[in-house]
Amino acid sequence: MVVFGEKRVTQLVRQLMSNMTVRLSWGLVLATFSVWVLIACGIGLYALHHGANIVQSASDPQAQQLAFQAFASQIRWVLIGVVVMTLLTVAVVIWGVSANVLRPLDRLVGYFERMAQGDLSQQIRSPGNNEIGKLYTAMAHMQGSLSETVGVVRRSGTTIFERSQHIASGNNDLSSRTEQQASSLEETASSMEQLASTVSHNADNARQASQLAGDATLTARRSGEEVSHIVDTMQEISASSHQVADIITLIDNIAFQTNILALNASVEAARAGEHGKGFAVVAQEVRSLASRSASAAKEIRTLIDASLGKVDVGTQRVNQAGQTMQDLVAAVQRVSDIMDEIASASEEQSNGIGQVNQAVAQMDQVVQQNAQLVQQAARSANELESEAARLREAVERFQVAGESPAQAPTRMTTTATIASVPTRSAQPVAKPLTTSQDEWEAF
Amino acid sequence: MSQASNEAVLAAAEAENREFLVFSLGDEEYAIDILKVQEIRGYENVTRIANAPDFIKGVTNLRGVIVPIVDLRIKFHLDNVEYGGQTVVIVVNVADRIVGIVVDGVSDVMTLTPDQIKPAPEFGVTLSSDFLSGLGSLDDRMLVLVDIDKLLTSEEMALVDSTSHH
Repeated sequence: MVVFGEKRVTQLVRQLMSNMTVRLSWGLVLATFSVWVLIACGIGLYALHHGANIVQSASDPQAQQLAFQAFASQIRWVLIGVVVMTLLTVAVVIWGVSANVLRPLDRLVGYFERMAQGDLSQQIRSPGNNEIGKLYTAMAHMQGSLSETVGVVRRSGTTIFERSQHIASGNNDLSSRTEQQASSLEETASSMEQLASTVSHNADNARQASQLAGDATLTARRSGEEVSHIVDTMQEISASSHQVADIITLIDNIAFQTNILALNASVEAARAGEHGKGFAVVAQEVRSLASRSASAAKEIRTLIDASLGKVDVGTQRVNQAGQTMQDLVAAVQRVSDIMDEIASASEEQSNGIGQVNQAVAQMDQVVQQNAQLVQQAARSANELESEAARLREAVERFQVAGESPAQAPTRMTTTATIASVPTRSAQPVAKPLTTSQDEWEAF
Repeated sequence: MSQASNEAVLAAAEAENREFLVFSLGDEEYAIDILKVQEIRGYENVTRIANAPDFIKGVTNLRGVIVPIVDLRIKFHLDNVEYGGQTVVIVVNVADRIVGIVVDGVSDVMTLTPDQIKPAPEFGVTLSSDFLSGLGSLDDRMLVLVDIDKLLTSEEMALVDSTSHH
């Protein structure tokens, strides 16, 4: 019970001392010593005054001596007590200084040294409210803000690392796409060459076809002229046939007249009776001749009519043929025009393909520049990643409260594996550009 | 009476062969006594007579004689009545009058023996048997023998006389 009370008293005293400011404690110390000095001086003055009283009151030296001796011994004890008290006070002050100032400062130094070693996870408890306690509080604040900064820097490092990883993979994709683009451009260029040759072939064929169509036009025109000649001939045939028919009509008429004359002769012969018998026979012969010539004329007329009809049909057909020829000429002319248009269109196509080729060449240049940029970006991402790794290493030295220090090495291995990505991604970029190696070396 | 005339014809035919002028009207062939024929001519334009029946084509001047022209095709109501280069006019001498008859064509002068001439059947049509002196049968051909005197001097043809008198 008494021990517990003593402990409690010591704790209270410590508490009191810890909460005492330096000014107050030093004031207390000075005041205590001043009190002791004042007490000593007071005692001395009282002793002097009392000695003088003794000397004046008692004339008896003996009595004086006795009284003085008694008083001197009293004063002596008092002085001894004062000295003892002073010594006690000195001891208390020394203890207090070491407990209240020196030991907290030692602990503070220890904290600083551990912080310097990177340990930011210490629990700093302030011993009191005085200046030393404020120092502790300020130190705790410093550690807190330091560990916060370290945490922020660590997170930022991680973020930077991840982002640079993204950038590296993006560069990878970009370089593969650039490669695809370059190969597509090559294919496009070769396709364009094929297209250009096809188009020029096409143009040649169209030109030849146009020439052939022109020849065909000339031939068709000549045929049309021939046909018109044939038409003329047909018309001449028709006209001469008509003349023949007229002559036949004339012959027919003559036969008719002859027949009538012979009939009249027969009539006359009949009137003449017996004397006209011979004449009648002659008239009969003449009539039969006339009828034969009439029938011959009839046959010729039939034939001429048939040939006239055929000539008419032939003329009609030839006219149709002439019309068809004219249609043919017009159609061939159209074909020739269309062929000319095709030829000119093919030339335009050829020009267009030339422009496309230029554009493809420009695109090729741009793709090469893109590839250069991608390589630069890959290198920058690489450097960024290594910088991020260094930053991480620097930050990993600090040990922050609530984070285990074992996480750091695993992060470092991932950094190592990712660091190889940009070199891999940089290769495909260089691959399609092996043809332009000189430029790259210059670059 | 007709029987008597037929007998007379037959008797005449028995006496000698007769000559006939054969002409065609449409598809039929007719024959008249050649001794009645004065002349055969081609059809020429005629001078039309006003108010005359349509079968009288008009008159024409034949060597100073005015001759009436009768178209038997119209008279016999044939369908195709055409006038062309082959249309023929037979000028006949009937009862001292000269008349031209228009026919489709004159085909022949034929001699018929009496047995080739058959009597005409009797029926009461326009071309009555009065004008027919018989039917001539010659191989496949059938000739209608016309008594031109009776035909042209009949009552229907009386106009001929009156117009010819003009």
